[in-house]
Amino acid sequence: MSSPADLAGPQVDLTAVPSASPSRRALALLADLLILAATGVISVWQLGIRLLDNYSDIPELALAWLFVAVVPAGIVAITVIDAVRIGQTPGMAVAGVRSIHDGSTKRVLPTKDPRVPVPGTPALWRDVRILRLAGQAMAVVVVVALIRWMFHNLISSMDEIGLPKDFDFLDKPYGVALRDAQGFDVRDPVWKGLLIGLQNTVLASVVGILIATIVGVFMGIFRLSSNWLVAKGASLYVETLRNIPPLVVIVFFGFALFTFGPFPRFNPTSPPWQGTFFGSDSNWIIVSRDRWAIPSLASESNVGVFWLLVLAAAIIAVAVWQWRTRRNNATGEPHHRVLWSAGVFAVIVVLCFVALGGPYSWSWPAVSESGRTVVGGFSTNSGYMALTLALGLYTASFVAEIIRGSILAVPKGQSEAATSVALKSGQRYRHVVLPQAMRIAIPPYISECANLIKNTSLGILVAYPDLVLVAVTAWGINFPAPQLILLLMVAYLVINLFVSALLNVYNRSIQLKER
Amino acid sequence: MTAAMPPSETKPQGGPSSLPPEMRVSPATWLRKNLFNTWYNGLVTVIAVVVGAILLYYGGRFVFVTGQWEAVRKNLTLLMVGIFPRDELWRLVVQMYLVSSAIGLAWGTVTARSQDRAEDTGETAHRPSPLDLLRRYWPILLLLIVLLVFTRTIWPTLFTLSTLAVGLAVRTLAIRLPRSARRICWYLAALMAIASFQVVSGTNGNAWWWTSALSAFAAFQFASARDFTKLFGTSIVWPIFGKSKLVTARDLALLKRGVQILAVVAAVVVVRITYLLIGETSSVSWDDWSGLYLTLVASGAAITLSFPLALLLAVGRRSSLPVVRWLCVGYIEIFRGVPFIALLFVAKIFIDFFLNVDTPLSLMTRTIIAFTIFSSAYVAEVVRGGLQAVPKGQIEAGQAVGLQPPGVMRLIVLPQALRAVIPAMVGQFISLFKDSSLFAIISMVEFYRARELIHSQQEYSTIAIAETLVFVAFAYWALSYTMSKESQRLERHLGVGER
Repeated sequence: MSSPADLAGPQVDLTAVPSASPSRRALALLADLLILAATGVISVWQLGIRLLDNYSDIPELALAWLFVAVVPAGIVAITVIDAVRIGQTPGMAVAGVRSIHDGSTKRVLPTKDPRVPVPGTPALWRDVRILRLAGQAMAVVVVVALIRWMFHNLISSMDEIGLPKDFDFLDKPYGVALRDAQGFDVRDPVWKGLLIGLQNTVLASVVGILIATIVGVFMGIFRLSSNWLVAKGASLYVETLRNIPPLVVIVFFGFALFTFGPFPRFNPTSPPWQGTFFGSDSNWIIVSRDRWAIPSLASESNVGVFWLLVLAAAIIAVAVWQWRTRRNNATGEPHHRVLWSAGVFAVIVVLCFVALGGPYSWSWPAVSESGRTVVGGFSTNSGYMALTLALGLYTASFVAEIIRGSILAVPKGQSEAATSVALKSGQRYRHVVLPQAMRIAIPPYISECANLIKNTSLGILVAYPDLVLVAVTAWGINFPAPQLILLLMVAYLVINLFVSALLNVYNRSIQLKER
Repeated sequence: MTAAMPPSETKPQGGPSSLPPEMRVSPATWLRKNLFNTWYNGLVTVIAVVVGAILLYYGGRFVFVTGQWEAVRKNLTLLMVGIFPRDELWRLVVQMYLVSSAIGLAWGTVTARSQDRAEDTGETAHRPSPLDLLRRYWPILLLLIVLLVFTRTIWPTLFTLSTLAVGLAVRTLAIRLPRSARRICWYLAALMAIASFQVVSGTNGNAWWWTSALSAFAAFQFASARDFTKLFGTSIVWPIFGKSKLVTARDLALLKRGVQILAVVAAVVVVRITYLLIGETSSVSWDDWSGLYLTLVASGAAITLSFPLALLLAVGRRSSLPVVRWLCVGYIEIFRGVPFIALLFVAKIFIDFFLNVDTPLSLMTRTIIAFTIFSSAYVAEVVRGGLQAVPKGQIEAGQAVGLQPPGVMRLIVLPQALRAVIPAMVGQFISLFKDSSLFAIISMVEFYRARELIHSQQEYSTIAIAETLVFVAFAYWALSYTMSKESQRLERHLGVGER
């Protein structure tokens, strides 16, 4: 009797032999991990000591080591694993192994029949695992060799010129005064100057982002206005500013508006323009070509107590908020929780302020006796004004596009649905459209903020002492440029990573919670 | 009367007749609907009109009455070509003619192809009307007119008109060419563009090797055209060997390979011999390329050079090999995280330190290197977006027909991905075009720095600051605005996001 099975050759029972025991599998996995970890550690260690030991002379051997060690070790590891798991060595086409890749390690009976295909582990040079390992080792070798070569060149060039190769210069006196840096002396060390630069960069970024966000949101909404003139005006703003380099915008603000602009100079013969309150001598603003000032708050000694009380007020406000929410949930009466908690907070803070006899008092800006500087108030130079205004307004044009795009991206049905449940236009925007548009807008908004932070480095054009200008000045007076640029790059990378991490956390909190 | 009407199904579909009739609105209705629909909108309109009128008044007064445009007028050459030697300006003239011919050739080929496609499918080809073109390109046209208004002799106007005439003539010629010649047109255009730069840089130094490399590439592509292989076979090889020897596909493949090698060798030899024949001539150093010219060349070079690198980085970032992926992510994130100024300072101060070169590289070369490294990180993200836009089913279909991973990438993923990223690439080019203004900080004379040079003259040290800035801003605006509108049009045209 002949059946299809006979024609197919001798029957091979694929389930006859039990698979490798769990303990053997675990052992194999352990061997796998151990060997790979060991080779990794050894190669990093070898490279590391050579890099640290004598970085100008890493022998090529150290690189070849990766190849010499990791790939053979990987091959050995894979061989061992295969041997342990399925009782076979690579490249040996012994009949009986179904598959080594799908995790099943069942062995079939060997057969001498030539018609039965003989599966087996592939040859070494065709084993995907080994090829992947070799490919990655190769990539590491190429990249490390390139970096090593460039590093070696850099070190030898620096030796030739006689630049120091360490960071000791950070403790030496900076030697140059910084614009508007209170408490920074010419003899202060370089690191303190860099820190002030960093502080200035952060200050410009924060205010710039604030301006960009406020103006951008308004312009984005204006572009969607039903009023033809407003919509066209906003798109004129956006289309003009976003197609001009930020550098030109900054220089326009810095020079055409301030330095050579319509404002009065600031010297004894031409006093700045001072805006005073009616019937009082206090200036609420001082405007000139290179110095602007506004009133600021001067603190008394009991400020600490005041802030503690403010903190307490905030806690009480949160409690009130929760109480209103609970109340709303329980009885259904309108919660008005914003009104309630803000009101409670404001009342407590005002009471504390009065009770403490005014922990803060206004400090009014005034022109000094010499007629060249401002005393009191918060005063800043035109470089800072130009940088933050220009970057804020420039980035606002991108933010406006993001806002407009994301409002348009909310499906029209959402809006219609809101209308059909009788929401008014304002409510429709507040409760339906904007929350959804926000989710779309946040990721591109993050990258615009990062761009603004990077663009503050253009403060060098209007002599605003941000991190870049401080570093450039430093290498101008013969501090080593490579280290300074390294510090610069690391600082910007850290700031940018920090910002994106911060905004990503916020982003995650407002994204849709899906399954 | 109605019975005599032809049946409606014979009426061609499509075209303006199928559109709904246009709404005719009287100006009064329009005003009421768009400006005064509510009381507060009316108020807003009135405020906007007043603010707009004030701005318009001061803007108009600045442009037409008080502006000291003499500063721009007298320094127009400085703004356009910066410190380019004035005796060598003819090189730029020749280059402009060559580039305009190349653009005409490419444009004509594209037009002819779309006409052919329309003919094949029986549709009427969409031809933009002059009014459409005006609406699309008015900023550039305005820029051109402003530039010509500022010139003091008739020659620039004649030059502009003749350049346009040459471009349009070549375009007309290209449309008339037979279909078989079309593929070659692309390489001819590329060769023209290469040659145009050779005209500017002159024949000195070792410029010959990059010219021959580019020419060899063009020649290779040229020789790969099937028509060319056939032409070569029928006219030269087959008559020599007798037709019987060359009939199989294998022979043809062999012939093609031979032609390719021959073409590459010939290109290198021809370039080298040409250089030897011309000998040492006067030339213009790269560092003298400046003004708006430098801005355009540098951003073009950066986007072209960064593209291959960006492609590798984008593919590497999606690789299944973790080490490769990390390396690519590291590169992209580091160079996107630092400001371009930092890289420019690296370029200015110590790129030579890294590369261990005997003679210092020219500032132009170093800047282009930094610009390419910088832009490749951004372009890589653009390309990655395109790669992600390719549906997974496409990759699986490729695997199902037995393609290896490189084949899937090359034949299935990349053609779709690259087509999808074209608009974003234009956007990237605009941002590079704007970023190139930062070259001014390392004192390279690009467009913005050329404007600063105006004010380094005694005469203009404190006056006309706003005028020159407004002019520079307007030129930047006109070019980038047109490009961004074009990229949006291209996006709609390619239907990205609808697929």
